[in-house]
Amino acid sequence: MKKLFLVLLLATACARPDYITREEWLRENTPPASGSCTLNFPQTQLCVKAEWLTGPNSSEANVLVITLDGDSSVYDEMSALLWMPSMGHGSAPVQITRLSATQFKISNVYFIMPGDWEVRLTLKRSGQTVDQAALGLMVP
Amino acid sequence: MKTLILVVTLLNVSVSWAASCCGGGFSVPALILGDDKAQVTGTYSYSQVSEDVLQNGKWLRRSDNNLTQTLKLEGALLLSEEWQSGFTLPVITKSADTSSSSSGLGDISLYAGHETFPEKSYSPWKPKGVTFLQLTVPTSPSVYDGSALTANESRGRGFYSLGAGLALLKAWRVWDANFTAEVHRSFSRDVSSAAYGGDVEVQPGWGTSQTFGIGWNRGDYRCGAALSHLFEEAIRIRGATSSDGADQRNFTFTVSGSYMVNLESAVTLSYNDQSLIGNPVNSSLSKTWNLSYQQRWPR
Repeated sequence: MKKLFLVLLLATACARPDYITREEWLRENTPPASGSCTLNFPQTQLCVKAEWLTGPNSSEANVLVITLDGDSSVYDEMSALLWMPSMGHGSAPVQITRLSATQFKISNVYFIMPGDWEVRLTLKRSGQTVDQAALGLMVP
Repeated sequence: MKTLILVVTLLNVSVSWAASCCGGGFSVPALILGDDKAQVTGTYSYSQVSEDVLQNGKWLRRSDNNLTQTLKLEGALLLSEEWQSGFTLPVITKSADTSSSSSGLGDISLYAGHETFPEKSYSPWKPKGVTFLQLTVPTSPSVYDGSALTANESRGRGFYSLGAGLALLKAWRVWDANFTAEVHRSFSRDVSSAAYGGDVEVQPGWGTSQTFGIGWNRGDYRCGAALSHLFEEAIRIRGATSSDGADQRNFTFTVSGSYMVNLESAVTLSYNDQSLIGNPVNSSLSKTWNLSYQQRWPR
């Protein structure tokens, strides 16, 4: 009886992995966006279209192009930082190049490890924050 | 007598568990638990991250050959009948398919121990116990240092940590049991970096770990098993950007075999697996082989 109890105790202590794929994670964690938008800024409702030229992955410097659809007069600058929310740390600074009034190229995007990441976008006008949005990613 | 020495050998090999990100978590120091005046332990560890567990408990398979090799030197010296002090000095090499490898010093630790529960006469139940205070110094790059572009370049947690704990040990004929528990506090630091959008305060919190182990001894050999639990409070960020983080928890199952070369030295081979037991959260799980050699100098 004691042996049976010990076996049952050990069995209940065993890990029960609940595996998820990268695709399933993205489906569960990507907020709904209107139309063809990747996401929307919550205050200004500007539509964000995100296109990865390389990546996203943790093996190289990735490049992301952000295209904003909507009233471009509400901002004159965009900043971006990388953030791993579960672990509570960022990564190296990215480089932002403005391609046009509504399009920005974010390069030197280094994800220092695989996992759940955010690209945190901030729209500014005259140095003041206008709106913020986070693009959630599962980086392989 | 041999049983006791072998048990002491096992506990003298310090235990360290990886925290979920990039550097070691907290190590229990290699305490002097026997009748020795000094000891030196060298340990080689080969560790591979096999899974990541997200903060919602979902598991992801890791396939980037994320390897960590650690060469750790630990020394301990008896200062008086009751007091001892020691250090841990790790040198770490990290590699992965996704980035070039990196080597260097890890976070070093200093500790002071006190034989608070001596075993002066035989008792069938009363264990021998040592309490300790440990300071971990962030002597290696961490994810909070702007110079680290990849996780391979982060070999430490990046915080000063102060811990206090207790190690208990009891042997009965061929069997033995041990229990170690510690609580530690990691201290906030300021980071100023474009990566964080400016100035931020990184606020780690409390952490704790416990280990319970049993062993069976025969002649010069001992085999044992242990289960460890590690918990770290979430790391919060306040300032130019903010983040609440998430608590981290993982469990480590260890099997080990020791051989006593002579009364002053022993070799231990052990295997740790963090994917077998419990319900880990927000952690990278590793499988680790450790090979250690210990030399002791009796009183």
